[in-house]
Amino acid sequence: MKTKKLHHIKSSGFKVPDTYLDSFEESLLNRLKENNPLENLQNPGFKVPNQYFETFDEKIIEIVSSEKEVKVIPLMSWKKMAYVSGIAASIILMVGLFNNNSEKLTFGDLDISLIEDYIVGEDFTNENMASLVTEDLTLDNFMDSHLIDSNLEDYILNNSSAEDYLNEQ
Amino acid sequence: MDNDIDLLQQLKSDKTKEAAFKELLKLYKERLYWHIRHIVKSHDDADDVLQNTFIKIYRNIHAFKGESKLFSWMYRIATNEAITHLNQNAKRQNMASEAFQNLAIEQLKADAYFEGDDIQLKLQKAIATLPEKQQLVFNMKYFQDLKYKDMSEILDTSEGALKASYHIATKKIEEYLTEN
Repeated sequence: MKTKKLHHIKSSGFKVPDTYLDSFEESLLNRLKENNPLENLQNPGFKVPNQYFETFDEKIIEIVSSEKEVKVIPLMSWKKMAYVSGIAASIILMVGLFNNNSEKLTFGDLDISLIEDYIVGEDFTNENMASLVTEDLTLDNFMDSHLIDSNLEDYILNNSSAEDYLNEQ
Repeated sequence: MDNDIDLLQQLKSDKTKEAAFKELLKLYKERLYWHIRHIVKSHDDADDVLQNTFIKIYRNIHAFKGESKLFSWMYRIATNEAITHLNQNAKRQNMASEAFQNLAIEQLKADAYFEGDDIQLKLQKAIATLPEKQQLVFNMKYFQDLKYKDMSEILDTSEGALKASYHIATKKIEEYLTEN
């Protein structure tokens, strides 16, 4: 009886929505695109001005041609230049050796205001100045200054006038 | 590309150099432009770099020994010029080159020569998150569809390494686009 019944069941009973299979391909592709966000982005969105490529060649040819026109041709070859430079250097050296000026600049030749400007302008710090002192200095060097009275009198007599004292209150 | 050997011989001869250079411009200007444009982003910068690239090619063609293909030599010059241009601009603005690149992408919104929408802009931002070499590989493969063999010669990297690099770059970009 079972077998007899089975012969009568020709259909599985499953149904498919209308147009499902027709639209399957499209919906699958859409889903693939969703999973692959790069799919639709082959165009980066960049644009080029009109006629850009058409006029580019002309622009470049003009640049390289102008370079050729202004190309400088050396008047002397490199070898000749080397000889001339060598001779010139020898002459300068000889003049320097035989025409040696014996006059030497001393510290006294320098203008004081120039030295002051230099020190102010160079923005020296106390540390910079300290580095110039070669002797070992102690506090005694500054404390134990002995002024002899006669020297002090001579200095006042030679370097000051009565007006200086009148102005002091 | 197959005619590059003939073209190279003509470029090295004083008699045929001019005509061969015009042919070279005709053959490669667009390809090199797009290669450069993807690196520097703006049209004005791409134009500057493309001009410098062709001037360098013209000046140095006599010294090209033909150890690599002519087109890969030109691509290398274009790549170097574009990266140098980008770095110089970043230095001038006192910025790191990554930050400068992000700024260049932000400026695309107001660029008359960018017609991309938000998604295309997002893609550019995603590319900018990649290391420099991966950016190059991605742009060359994805937008310009260059062969791995040719890319290998231009970037002096094995085909296997390039495939791996492209795969990683694609995954990172997909992740960025999905998350942002």
